[in-house]
Amino acid sequence: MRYLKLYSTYAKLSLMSKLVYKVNAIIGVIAFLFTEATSLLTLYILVSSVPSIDGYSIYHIGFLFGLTNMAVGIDHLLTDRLWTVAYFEVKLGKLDHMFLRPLPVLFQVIASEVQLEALGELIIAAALLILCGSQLTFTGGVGAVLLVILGIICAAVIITSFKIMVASLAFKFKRSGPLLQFIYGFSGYTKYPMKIYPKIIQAILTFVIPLGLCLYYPFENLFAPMENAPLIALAMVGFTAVFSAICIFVWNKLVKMYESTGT
Amino acid sequence: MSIINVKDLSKTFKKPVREEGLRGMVKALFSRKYDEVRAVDGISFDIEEGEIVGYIGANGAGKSTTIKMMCGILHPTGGSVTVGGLDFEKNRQKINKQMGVVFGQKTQLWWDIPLIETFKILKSIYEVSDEDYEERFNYLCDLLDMRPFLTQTVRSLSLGQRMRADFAAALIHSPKIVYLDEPTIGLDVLVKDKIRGAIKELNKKYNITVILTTHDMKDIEELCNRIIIIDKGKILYDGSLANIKYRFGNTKTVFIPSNVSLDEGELKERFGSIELEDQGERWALKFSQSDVDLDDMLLYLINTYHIKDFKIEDISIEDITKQLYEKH
Repeated sequence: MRYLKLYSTYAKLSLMSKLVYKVNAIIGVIAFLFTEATSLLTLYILVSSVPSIDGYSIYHIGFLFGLTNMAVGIDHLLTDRLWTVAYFEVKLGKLDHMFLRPLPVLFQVIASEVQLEALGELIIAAALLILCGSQLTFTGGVGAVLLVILGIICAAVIITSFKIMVASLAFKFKRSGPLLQFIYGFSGYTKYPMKIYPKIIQAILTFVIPLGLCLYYPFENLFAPMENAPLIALAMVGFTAVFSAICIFVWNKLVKMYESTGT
Repeated sequence: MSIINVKDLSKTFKKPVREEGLRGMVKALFSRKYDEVRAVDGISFDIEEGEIVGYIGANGAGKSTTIKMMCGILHPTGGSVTVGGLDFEKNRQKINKQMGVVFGQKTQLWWDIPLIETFKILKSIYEVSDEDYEERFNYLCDLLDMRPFLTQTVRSLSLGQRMRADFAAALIHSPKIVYLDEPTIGLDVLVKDKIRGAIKELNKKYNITVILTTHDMKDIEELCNRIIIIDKGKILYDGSLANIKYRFGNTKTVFIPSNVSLDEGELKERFGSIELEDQGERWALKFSQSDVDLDDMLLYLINTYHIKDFKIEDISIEDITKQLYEKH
């Protein structure tokens, strides 16, 4: 409860900081909106030239794209400072003050930045889910919708956990931004149905980086309800918990290697 | 009662061995050779509750590295730091609640928002009760004259205002220990006096323990009853200020322009143990006040050489550490 209250205070200050530079904040949101729209347009041009991909219509692809973007957008909105930690802040010794406060350093890193630019991503994601969803026939009920919501949350937690782990490598190597950029690109794989990938990629996305498990299976369940849906829900939560525990463990180990800078 | 215990503390940084230039950088990519830099080398001391300790040394001596280990930013390579019997490994957050830190060269304030908001969030972070917060906040505002700029954003504050605000932010939760790393660096005389006055008053009123690093001898003279001198990661001196002043503090240097033709032989004959150094644009005359009377010497220089311009300097911390180092 204390951490929730603190989070809201930190978030309020972050928003206040952003709104000091109003024009910058607005341009940021619009820029992301355009980036996402362009990426979507490219996808549309590619997919619309074929009637279907492995049985999926353009609306299926758009809907899955929306689900992935929703998870990516939530992570982007709430944990964006991990990027600056990975790229600059460890190298420049900018985290000193976080080690002086009676709070976990990781909590402070995450709570201290709310990234308004992510609204661009989330708006596109919501538009896709509504527009493509209206063209599709769902056979799953309320349970299937809840599974999708759970999947989005778990996927966002997985993306954040991955960022935490890779960003923490900066404590050892001073900079891990380029590696983070590279690995972050994996989230793009879940924008398309997993069935179109080779078995090895499907296995990685299910068991190693369980993004596919959290986004693709709930997506399938909307159209063809699975008997083992509760088991999938359990697996999603379990894999996400284990995965994030491992990532936080790595952070906690590596954060001790922080060296600050000379004064 | 000892509140801080530092035992055999050391910190080693590993630096990759690189040759000069781009070629050297490329070669270093494939090399596993590292140099070990021992920034702090097995130091030990205790600090009692209510003490004001000056932790001094030349640039690169290991001062800030020690302070950063003492406040939990850096993990020691060896040895330990305990605060009130607690160690950082298991109790970092508990210790953090008992201490406040000011880095003269790094602010801890929220940069883009009004200053008052920083105090509000610190209240939540340190779980300060409404009553204690009001009392402490008003006290610090008056002590450091902060009211005129409380609603300004931190980035728009002058260095002096920002330092006062940083100082207040480090004290808002009534810490038992305050670390001040060069708190008066770059400040004008008036702000320096205000900060020093505040340190003295807080120490007297709340019995706060203060550990201070500085290059300003006046900070030390006005505030500290004990100093620890460090060089190359080792303690050279740990004792009272009175003692070190007795040993070195009487040394003065008089600078006069180089166009004055000094007679070194005559000066030495008249004043005995005086050191004369030609520094290019000026002469430096170094002497101990126990052997040479400053007034006599100035009178002699003015009457004999008709000098109109001169400057007198006390011995610097760098000189003291240099002399101490040479003796070891």
